[in-house]
Amino acid sequence: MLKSSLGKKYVMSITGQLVCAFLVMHLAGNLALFAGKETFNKYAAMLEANKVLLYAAEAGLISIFLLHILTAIRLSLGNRAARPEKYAVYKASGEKRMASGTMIFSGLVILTFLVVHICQFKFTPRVGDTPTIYDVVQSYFAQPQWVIFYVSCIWVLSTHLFHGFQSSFQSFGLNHPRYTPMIKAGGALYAVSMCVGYTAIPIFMYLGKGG
Amino acid sequence: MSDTINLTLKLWQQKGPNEKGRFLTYEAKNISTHASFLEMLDVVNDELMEKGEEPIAFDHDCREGICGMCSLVINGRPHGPDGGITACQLHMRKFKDGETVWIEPWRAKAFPVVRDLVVDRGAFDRIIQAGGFVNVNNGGAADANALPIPKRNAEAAMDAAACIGCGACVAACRNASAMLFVAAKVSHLSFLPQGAVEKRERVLNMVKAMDEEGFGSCTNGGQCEAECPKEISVSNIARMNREYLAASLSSS
Repeated sequence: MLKSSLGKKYVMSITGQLVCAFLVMHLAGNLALFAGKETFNKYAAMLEANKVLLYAAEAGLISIFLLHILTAIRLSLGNRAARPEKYAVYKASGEKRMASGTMIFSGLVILTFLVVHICQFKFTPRVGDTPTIYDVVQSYFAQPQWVIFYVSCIWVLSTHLFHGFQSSFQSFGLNHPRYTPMIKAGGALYAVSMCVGYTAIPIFMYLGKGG
Repeated sequence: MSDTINLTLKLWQQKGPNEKGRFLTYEAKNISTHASFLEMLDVVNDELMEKGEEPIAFDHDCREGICGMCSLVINGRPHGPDGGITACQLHMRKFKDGETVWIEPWRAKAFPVVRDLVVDRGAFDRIIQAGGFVNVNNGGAADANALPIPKRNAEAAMDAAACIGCGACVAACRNASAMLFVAAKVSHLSFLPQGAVEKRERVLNMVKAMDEEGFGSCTNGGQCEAECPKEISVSNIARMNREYLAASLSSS
């Protein structure tokens, strides 16, 4: 089943929904930044305390991301091959062309962001001027170029979520005249909430530093 | 509104499946706004033949939106700028005097160009052969209404059965996916008691055939639904997705 075009879409939607759930937890946890240095460091220490759980969670996340990314690349290459000769003029209508048509590109931006993000906040050594994770976060978000980078990448992520969240229901065959509009509205609300929540962190950290 | 318009046509010319195609620019003069799009092409072809040039090949048959033969992407939209109709039902009054009109064939790997604007849609036939039918024993015709079918199911089956297999969904889809076509056939038959018996094998076989033809995958962008001349809903795609999931996870 998973070899078929539909099977690959099932993989995309399950892994996508799992990432959606992770994003909510990640945001909820990181809102501890607003509670101050001590609270956030305590939260981070708690996450890192149990090594077994930490590695299990990391391994889980890595496999979810890898499945999502590799399947996406295979699907995207197949889609490209399905139309070798492009149209001179292409204006087919349809809804949400911007988000749905750029999933692979927004996905690649998110992948780049993810690599940078992990290098910064997981692998920056906590020594010298930045002895704790809070100081590491603060040092990056004191620099306007990183604030702009984070805000832009989160905006791209949100367009990805805007299409992805509701689309995953359709891929699984969940479509109903009454519930589909709700799912679409829910997807939009989810994407906007993630955008607001995640961009708030670098912006407020920067303003807090400046003010 | 004047009764005739002049247009600049960009017509796709391609000698054969493996030849390189190009656009022929043609100045179409004094085209009646009452003409259909295909009648306009007839006029252009007559003029080309009078000049001793090769006419442009295009597919057509019934010219009343039933057969699904016409297959023109007009100014970037399958079946042209009007919604819910085929290219043969499109009228020239939808175009402005002096407009440039781009006319291209369906573009998909699974629909190779035969010549100019004519594509081979045999891929759809092979998908139908894989399962788009019902097996019924021979014998006398069954009594009408011998099989009770709820009105809602009959309506839903009819909505899906409106698909004429023209391939506009493939042409419109950014990924050249045939999902709407296959979903319409799967839905149409599984709504009816005659077809429901074989729905498990049908969806597995038709999706397999679809994948083998080299169509793209569905990104849920909705171009197919927007450009379908019969306005088939993408809810059929969801139905196929869940039938395929259920069929894959259950034993026969």
